[in-house]
Parts: sequence; C-alpha cells; structure tokens
Amino acid sequence: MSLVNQVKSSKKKYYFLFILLGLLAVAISFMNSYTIHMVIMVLFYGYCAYTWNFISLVGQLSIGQGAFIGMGAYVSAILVNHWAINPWLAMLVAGIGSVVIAVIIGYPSIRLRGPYFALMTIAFITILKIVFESFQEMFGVKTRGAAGMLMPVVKGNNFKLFSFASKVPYFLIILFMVIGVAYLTYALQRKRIGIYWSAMRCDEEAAESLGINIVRYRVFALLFASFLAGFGGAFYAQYIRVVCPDRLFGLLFSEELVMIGIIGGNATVLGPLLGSFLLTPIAEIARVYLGGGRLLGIHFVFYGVIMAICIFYFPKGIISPLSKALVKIQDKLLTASKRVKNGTM
Amino acid sequence: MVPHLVITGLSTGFLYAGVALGLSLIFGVMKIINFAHGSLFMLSMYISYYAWKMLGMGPIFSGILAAAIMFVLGYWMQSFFIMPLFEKERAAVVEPMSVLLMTCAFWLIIDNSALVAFGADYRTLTGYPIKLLFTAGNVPVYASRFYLSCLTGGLCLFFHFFLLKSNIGRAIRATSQNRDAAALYGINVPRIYAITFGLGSLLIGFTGAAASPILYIHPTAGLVFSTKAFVIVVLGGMGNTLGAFVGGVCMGLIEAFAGYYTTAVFGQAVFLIVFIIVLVVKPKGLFSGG
Repeated sequence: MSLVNQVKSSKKKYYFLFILLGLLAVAISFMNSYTIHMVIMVLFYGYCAYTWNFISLVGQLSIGQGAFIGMGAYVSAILVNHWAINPWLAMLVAGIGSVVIAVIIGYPSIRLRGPYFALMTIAFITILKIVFESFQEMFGVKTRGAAGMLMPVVKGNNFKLFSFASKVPYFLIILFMVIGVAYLTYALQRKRIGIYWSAMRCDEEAAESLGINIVRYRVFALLFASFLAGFGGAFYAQYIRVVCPDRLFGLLFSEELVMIGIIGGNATVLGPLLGSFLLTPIAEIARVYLGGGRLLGIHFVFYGVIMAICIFYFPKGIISPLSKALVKIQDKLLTASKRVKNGTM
Repeated sequence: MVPHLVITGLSTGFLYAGVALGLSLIFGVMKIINFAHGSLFMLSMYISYYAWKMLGMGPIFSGILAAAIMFVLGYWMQSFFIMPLFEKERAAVVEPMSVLLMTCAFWLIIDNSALVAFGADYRTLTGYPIKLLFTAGNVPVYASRFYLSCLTGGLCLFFHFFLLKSNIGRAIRATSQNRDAAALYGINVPRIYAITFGLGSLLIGFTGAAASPILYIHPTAGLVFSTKAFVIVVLGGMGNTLGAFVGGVCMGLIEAFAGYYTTAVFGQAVFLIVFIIVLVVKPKGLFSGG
C-alpha cells in the first residue's frame, strides 16, 4: 500500500529534475570552460553513482564500483588505440567488457552478503589495480602500466571520432547519459523487478521465502550496473583522454561514489545526482582555494565530516527531507492555482 | 634461500597478525568491519615517530604511550559515534550498513587530516639504531623485527587468555554470542562495546609503535595494512583471535614464498587471490570448526 502511494506521489517531483537539467543546459551557454568542466564532472560522478545505485537497489554495498568504470575506460582506450576502432562502437564494447569483469566478480560473490560482498569488491579492485599498474603490456596490447594510456589526438570537432574542441558537446552527451540512467532507475523501480529489488533490499530472507529468485535478480542488477558503468568509463576515457589505474582502480574513487550515493540518498531516483551536485563542487572548490600546497586532501576531510553528519541526521540521504519539502511546496502551489482558477471562474 | 624466506615471511607474518588481531576482536564482538583500523595503525606509527624525534623514546616505551592514546580514541569513537548508530539500527531508523560507512568516514577524516597535518613525506625513525640480534644459520635477525614478533605473539597469547579467563573477557564473549541475552544477564552492553573497540585500538597502538622502525611512515601507510588485515581476519574466521594470528603468519609466509618463486606481481596479488578462494570455499574462515 505504502509502496504504491510512494510510487504515485513520486511521479510529480521528477518533472522538477527535467526543469532543472533544462535550466542547466541553458545556463551552460553563459559559462566559461572551467565551470563547464566542473558541471561535466558533476554529471559524470552522478552517472557513476547511478550505476553504483543499481547494486545498492538490491541491498548490496559495492565499494569497488571503480572496477567496472575503470574496465570500461580501459577497454575503450585499448580498442581505440590499438585497433583504431570507432570510439562510439568502442563505448558499446566497453560496456560488454565491464560485464565480463562483473561476471568474474559476480561468480564467486553471488552468495555473499553485506560486509563480505563489500570486501570481495575491494579485493577485486585491488587485484585489477595491481595488474594494470605492473604490466607494461598485456596480450600484446600496450597499456603502459602505472603511467596510464593516452587517447589519440584528434584535431577539431569530429562527432564520428567522439572528439570536440569545445566542452559543450561533452556536456550534452553526459547530460543525455545521466537522464537516460535516471530514467532507467525510475522505470525499473516501477516494474515488477523493481518491486522484487526493493523487497530484497528490505528483507532478503522474507523475499526468498515469497519465491523470489534472489540470485537471478542480484546477478541481473550487477550485470546491468556494470554494463552502464562501462559506458561511463568510456566517456571518461574520451573526455579526460588519459586512463590511469591509480585513479580509476584506486579505492578513493570508488569510495567517493559510495559517498555520493549515500549522502544523496541510497536507492532513490534523484539521490545520486543530488549527492554529486553537493559533493563534487566541494572537492573542486577545496582544490582551487585551499589545495595545492599544505592543505592537500582537505576535501576528503570535508567529505568524511559530511558523510558522518548525513549518517546521523539524514540516514536516508539528503534527498528525503528535500523531497518532502518539495512535495509540500507543490501541494501548496496546486491548491493555490486551484484557488486562483476558482476565483477567476 | 629457504631459511631466509622463512625468517622474512615469519617477521612479516607476525606484523600482519598484530594488525589483524585488533580488527578480529572488533569484528567478532560487534560484527562491523572497521575501515579506520589502518588509520589508527598509521597514527600510532606517527606517535612513535614524534616520541622518538622529540623525547628520544624508543618504540618499546612509545608503544605504551601509543596504546594508551589509541585506547582512549577507540573508546571515544565507539561510545560517541558508533553506539548511537547501533541503537538507531535496532529501531530500524538507519540503513544496516551505516556503521560500516561511519568507519569509512573515520578512515577518510583521519588519513586526510594526517596528510594535512604531517605532509605527504615518507619518514623513518632516523637515527634509531639497527641492531643485529643474532644470526640463525646464516640469516641475520634484527632486533626491531624480533621485538615486533615477540610483542605480537605475546599480545595474542595474552588476549586469548584474557578473553577466556577474565571477567571482562567473559563479558565480551557473552556479548559477541548474543547481545540481548548478555544484556538480560546484567552486562552493560554499550560499555563492553566501547571497551572492545578500545582494546582493539590498543592492540593496534602497540603493533604500530613496534612496527615504526621497520616501515616507512606516511599518511596512507595504513590503507595497505587494513586491506591485508581484512583478508587475514576473514581467513582466520571472524572474531577468532588465534585464527587471526595463524592466518597472519600464514599470509606472511605465503607472500614471501610467492614473491620469490613467482613474479613480483603475483606476490602482491596472492593475498587477494587467497582471500577470494577462501570466501568462495569457506566463507566462515579456515578455523571455524565445521
């Protein structure tokens, strides 16, 4: 009953998201390229947190989400560099590459729960990091070890080769990706599988006793999340144009994604994006105004403090008080508009 | 070469065991993974460093100082931050993973505060004498490594009997078996939790100070050790202190031999591969009985 109501009442507030993103798209034309870069990074982190969110929808905590994103980035970089495959096609293959990694991770960890699953993801991401950092060459493909891979230089705007002189096209692409993944989160939650997922999240044993095939839906969530994460990684490779293992397979990147998801709102439609909008600028601002010299890494202290506060006071993420307030405002607006209509008629 | 490898593996293994001991205690009682464990290790190495630098205290004495500080820190962390979360979790207000995430937050705050406070430089206990204790066969055994091994071995034995025989130890074991039943028997569960967290941190304080002469001291030194400690704790069975000890020593030996006989990359990764295999085959740990 309450779930049905939640689904119904939640429908309204998503219009808000589209209005917001539309406004962003308008605002972008007045921004300088640094600000646009910041917005792109916010959206990129939001996208990655969305893919993390799919695993968290089943009630699992993945601290190794960077494994899928990094694998996507590497697959796309290898394909473009070594076989000169079209970047757009490489993006698709990157998704498949991430799925392969997800199968390798998923097979041993499928029966694990809670902290054990989290530790398993950490183990895998650390293995990937060690492997990619130590080998200069893998199966005849130059991955250049810890130095990372560079993407080939393309001059000017070339849509076919996924390379643009200005940042605006990148912004539009990642915006499109974020809208897509947010819509998928929203749509899947309303489907039968979404109800199963939320049942598994609340009480796995109860869900299993009602005849839900836990393993099947968990695997589906993992594979789906990794497929989308591969796209994110490919975008990263194309935009940043350098893929290095220390960043992508490092624990801090994955930890950032977890924090974005948790602070924004675990297992919600808007949470990851909101978390990214709140956290990523903190990192950038701290880096620009405080970082550099002595205060290196200060933004992670802020992250930690914000996360601690969130766990205490907003355990369901910042989205929950915000969406309540939003629903209230909308109701007020609706009643006000009705009054106005009645008054004029 | 084999005696060299055995000695190296044992001394690394005792270090790992010392790091894993406290984590195993905390996990066994509270069923939480303490991500801040490595950070506490790093902090106690810094305490030892500054004690040597400013006061001229060797790691043997500064270990007591570090252990005392870590005990207070752990007790405080548990009673002010983690216990309220446990209570909220029982009332189903917060998500079940929130305690784990809280320790993640601690990890980030402590590590990066250390980065801000101490800088990113790698430090060593400069001027601390490197004494050759004796040579076993033709393998040199150094004093600080020997001391570290003796300390962690002693701590492990001491804690084993402490948990078995003392009143607090019994209370800790009772709480770890069943929190509610223990509370019904008049055990002050929050206090026992705080003491357990404090004791786990105390162990890491001793180990960290003793390990400071043989490791590089830098703000992210703890992360590697906490990953390895997770592996060892899972290997030995969560909450099994003797298991953690044996697991640590085994890991040290495996790492030494794998690093020598195979490639260096495999030597680094063997830890995690063993971990994955254990989780798949025997998720309750190698020493879990059945």
